Amino acid sequence: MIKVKQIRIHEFRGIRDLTLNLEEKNFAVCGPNGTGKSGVVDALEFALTGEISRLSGKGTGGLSVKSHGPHVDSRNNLENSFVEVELSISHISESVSISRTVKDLNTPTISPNTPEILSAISEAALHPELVLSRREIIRYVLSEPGKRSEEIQALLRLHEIDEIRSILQKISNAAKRDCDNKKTIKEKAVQAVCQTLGIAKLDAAELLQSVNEKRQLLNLTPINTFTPEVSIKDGLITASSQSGLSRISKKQARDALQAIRNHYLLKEDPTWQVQVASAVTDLQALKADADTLQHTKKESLLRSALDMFDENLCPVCETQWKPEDFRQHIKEKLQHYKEVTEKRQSIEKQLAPIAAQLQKMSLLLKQINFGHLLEPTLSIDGITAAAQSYEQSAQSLQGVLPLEKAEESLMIAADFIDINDILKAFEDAIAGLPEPSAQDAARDYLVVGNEKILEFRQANADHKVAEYKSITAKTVLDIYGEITTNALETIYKEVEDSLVELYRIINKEDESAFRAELKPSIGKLGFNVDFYGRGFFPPGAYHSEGHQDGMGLCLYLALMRHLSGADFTFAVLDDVVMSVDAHHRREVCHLLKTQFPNTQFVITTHDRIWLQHMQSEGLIEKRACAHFRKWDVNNGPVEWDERDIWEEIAGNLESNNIEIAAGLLRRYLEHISQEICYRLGASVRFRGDAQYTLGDTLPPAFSKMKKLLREAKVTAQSWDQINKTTQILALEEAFKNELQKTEVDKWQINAAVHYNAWATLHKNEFQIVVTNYKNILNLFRCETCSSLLYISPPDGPRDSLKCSCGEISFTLKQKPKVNAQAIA
Amino acid sequence: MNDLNKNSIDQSIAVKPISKRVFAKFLDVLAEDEEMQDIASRLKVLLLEKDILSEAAIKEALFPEPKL
Repeated sequence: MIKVKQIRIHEFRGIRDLTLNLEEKNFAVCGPNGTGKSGVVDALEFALTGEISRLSGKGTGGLSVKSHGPHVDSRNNLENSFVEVELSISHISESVSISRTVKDLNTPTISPNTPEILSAISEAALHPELVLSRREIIRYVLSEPGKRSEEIQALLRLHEIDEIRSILQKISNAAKRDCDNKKTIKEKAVQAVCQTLGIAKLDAAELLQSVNEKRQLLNLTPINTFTPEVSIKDGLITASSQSGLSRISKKQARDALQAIRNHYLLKEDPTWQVQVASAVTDLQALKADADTLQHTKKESLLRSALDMFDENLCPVCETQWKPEDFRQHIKEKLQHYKEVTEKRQSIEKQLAPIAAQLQKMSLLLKQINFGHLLEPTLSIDGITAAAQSYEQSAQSLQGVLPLEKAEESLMIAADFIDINDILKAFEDAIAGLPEPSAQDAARDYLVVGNEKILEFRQANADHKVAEYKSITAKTVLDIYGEITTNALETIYKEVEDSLVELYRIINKEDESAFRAELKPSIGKLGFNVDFYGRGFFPPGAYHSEGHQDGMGLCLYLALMRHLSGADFTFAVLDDVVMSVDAHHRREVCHLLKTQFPNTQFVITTHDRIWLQHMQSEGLIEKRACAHFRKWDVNNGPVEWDERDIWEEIAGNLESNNIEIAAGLLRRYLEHISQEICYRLGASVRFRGDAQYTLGDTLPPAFSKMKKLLREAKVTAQSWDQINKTTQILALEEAFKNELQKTEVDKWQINAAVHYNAWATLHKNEFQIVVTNYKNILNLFRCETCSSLLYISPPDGPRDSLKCSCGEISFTLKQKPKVNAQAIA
Repeated sequence: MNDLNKNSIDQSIAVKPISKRVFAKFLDVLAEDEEMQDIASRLKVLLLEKDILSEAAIKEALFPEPKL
């Protein structure tokens, strides 16, 4: 979306004041280590995001933008430390400027500040990944799957997907728990209805038959159909002056008391006693691992620690470990957690039926709520306290922890709470009540039965709602899970395909069949690569560091392409191909130029040859670079006075530094002649030490050009291409003239004109040499696009001699000769 | 245009964050179930329009409390 036109860096990092004109084009920052290249990278990142990633993250404790962003001499003058950038934004016609001081790093001055521009800048600020350094390459390529997943998910901004998945899972779990609870309540309500109405199961026909028998005794009309609106006591209140609500149902009360007595018999049951005793023993054994039980969350922490371990420091406490010792230590801990968890699960199963019986006892006791209706009244406090105690005990056993509470609950289960005297008092009081008449019993039956039916109806309705919510939440979660899993797999497959294609481009000669696998699983992202058809391995297993750098770069480019698509318009590559050899660097240039033509790359390097590669491949234009010569704390980076080699040589000539100028010319010619040999396919005498001198490469380069021009001329003539022939003839003539002036073709026979003697020439004499070489080397380039000419294709039979823009394209395939005899 | 660019993702949709594209797809599939259409509409407002990703809001979108 954005491209940088210009940046001004003032009192920031190691830079005092520097303005670079990037002009929305690729730009290189070159210089030896410690000359201020990183300051430019930091400034770009800071201007766009307010952050400096070099000052954050692991291993940067104590560093911050506020404290360490300004130049060391401006650390107490934060408003004087600032970066200004002028940008273009793809869909906005006017230039945009951002000025950000370290003092107000979160509130940049943006001009113009229309909502559209502010939105675009905010979007750019969300992309700290615009800088790729070797640090990120290691994070993407070599880190553990868990860490890699985090890094890449953060880069693709996928964390929201996991957040929503987690929320939906939580809602679904809660809905399921609620549904299970409501189901239990409903089942209890069904039991209560059946028990109260004396029916075996909740069946409408059976219920109606029983209810209508009682209604008949009270001269009430029978109920024909049992619907949700029907009350089994309909007509009862108007038919009788007694509501039945203030009376005790002798039978109900007797039954309730008997049920408690029956349940207390459990205490004498040998099976129950064994069950409780066994649970007590196992619970006591578990007490030895009480700490482990209470910190089961540590298990997931330990698993994460294994994933995040960097083969050196513990990711939690940063203690240094031998990798095998660390893994063994964590493995033993995890095994212990596993064993304790299994023990806990086992005891939970043992305790569940005991808890259920205590819960039942609590419910039975709660039915004894009629003490105030007796004459004289009886207190139910003892009953209520016992009910509460049983209920709490049941809950303690269900939760297991704390173990002491569970142990106390088992004691209650073993001995039961003594309420014999209270029960006896209630039983005597109930026995003293007059026996109800058949009509009274029928009335009690209908009144209490109706209450239980109403409770059941409410419980049933609640369960239905909970069930709907549970099913709905599960359906939403399942659909979400399926869609996101498929989407993530698709995303990673597309990134994988893109990575493979990009990597094959830069390694087409030795790994044209390269394959890679990005495999997502929960919280992890596996990354394996094919190693010459021998199988898939982690990138660091067999591939060289140079290849790993290439993979990291390609993975980054693939991810950025996927993330931003057409909006991937700006990236900083901070010394990321330092391990890549010269040949593959050329391919990297080709890759960036052809696959990302709309992306502005800012590339830093300490390697001058890499800078020349970028220039000769046309990735960056000749002047699109900052070339730092040195740095000091007072002045910051110092650029070369001339950015062009010819200007640099001319400067030295001007200062009569013939020796330096001669050295510069020789080094440049060494570089450019190797480039020309490579591009034109010139034959160079093989050297075992690969240390090619100018004498090895310049003559074959010039000779090859001469030969190709001759071939091109003959070919053009064979096709009757008059204009082309004229163009080639002119070039050939110019080349011949310039060649004579350099006398390179005589190097082999006349040592006197050899370049070794340049340093001894006078200024005027060497000026002529420089001019001659400059002129002839210009003939190897296209005047329009400045790229060096090359033969195409680079391997196999040659088709043409051409330039990058197509302005020069001389075919090398002659017209086939026609056999006159055959025609005749 | 080279082969790689031809095969790459639709440039017009690439502008949207990936998570939003995934949410949009999820809501489309959810809305295919007639009984889930209302929920999908409410979630759409949260996930795509208002960018509200809180548990309370999502729970309310799934099970709206009747406004009394």
